[in-house]
Amino acid sequence: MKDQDNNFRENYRETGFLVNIKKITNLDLLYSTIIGVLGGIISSLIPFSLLIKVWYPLTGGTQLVSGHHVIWASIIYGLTKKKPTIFLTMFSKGLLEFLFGDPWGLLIILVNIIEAFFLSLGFFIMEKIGEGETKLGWAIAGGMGNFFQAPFFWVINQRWYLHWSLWVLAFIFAFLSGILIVGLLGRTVKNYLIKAGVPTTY
Amino acid sequence: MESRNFYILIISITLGLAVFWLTVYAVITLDVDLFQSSQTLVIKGEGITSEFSISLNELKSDKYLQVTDREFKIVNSFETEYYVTYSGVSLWSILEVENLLVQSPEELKFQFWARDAYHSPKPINLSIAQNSPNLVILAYEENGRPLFETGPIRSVIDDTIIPIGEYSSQYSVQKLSTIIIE
Repeated sequence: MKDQDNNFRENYRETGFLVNIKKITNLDLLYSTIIGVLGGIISSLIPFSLLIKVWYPLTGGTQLVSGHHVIWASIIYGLTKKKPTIFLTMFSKGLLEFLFGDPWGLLIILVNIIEAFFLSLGFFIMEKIGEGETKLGWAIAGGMGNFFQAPFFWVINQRWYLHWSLWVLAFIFAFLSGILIVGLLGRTVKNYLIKAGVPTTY
Repeated sequence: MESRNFYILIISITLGLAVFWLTVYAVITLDVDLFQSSQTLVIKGEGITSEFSISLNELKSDKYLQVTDREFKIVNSFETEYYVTYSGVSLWSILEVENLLVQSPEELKFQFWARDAYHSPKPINLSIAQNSPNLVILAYEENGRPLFETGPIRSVIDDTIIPIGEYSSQYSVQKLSTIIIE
């Protein structure tokens, strides 16, 4: 029996993968790439806005599903607990969107990185006030991460000519979508992934 | 913990009420017709003889000038250029065939409105539709397929004839429902 154990050990090589380290590991890079590419493909090709357009009468309502662009960043943070992986994931996602021919060109990469920044900032603040692992903390961090893109796009689209109530509604929807999709749904997906056996790296 | 949940509840209710009343306010203020059929386009305003309503099927009839699979240059406000192939009906041909105008096009302006209260930034001179009837269209197909989530009708103006300082993407109005001519 002991010989058999030794044989098993010989068959495995040490990989250098360690838990409880702050550095980015290969597994972090792998997760970031896979999730970023998945997010890029889904963001570019699947018209989630249809879920809203069929029942909500006003322009800007599609912000209610805009959180699906950022949920990938909250999932990766749940698996790695390292803020740089949020940036790596969103960069990969932005690159994919650019390669799929996004009408905003290279700007879409910058938008993804700024979303990553605000989400990281949200998690940072929530951790400082002791809400880093709660639903409330994830919801507010998600809201912060997703909120930025709405005013950004409405401003660079120069939609000054639209009624102020449409602006306000779009911004509220962006924040709500961040709470519900990026924060709460992201946290739930992360929990299920961990429960399903996906190894965390923190 | 109980007071924390209470505050979360209060904030949620406040946000919900704000969204509801703002939506009601916007629908009333912007005069959004929630019951207008998506298959119908309305042309109205002081520049035409009387309000004119036309269905999608009528738009596709040979009575009007049809523009088929034409590539349109679109530029957005970030100055990104892209090209999209649309099929649709010439706006000018509808106005001409139906004899809708009360004045010469040089004296009139037009603006596109969508069902969701989006509208083109400002009214532009109707003479561009007259001078380039193939470049100001009401599109019903994109890349050979009927418009779906952005349709069934969408206004399209080629960037080459758009007034200086304007962006053609802002005049490419999805879910077009009304054209106002004044």
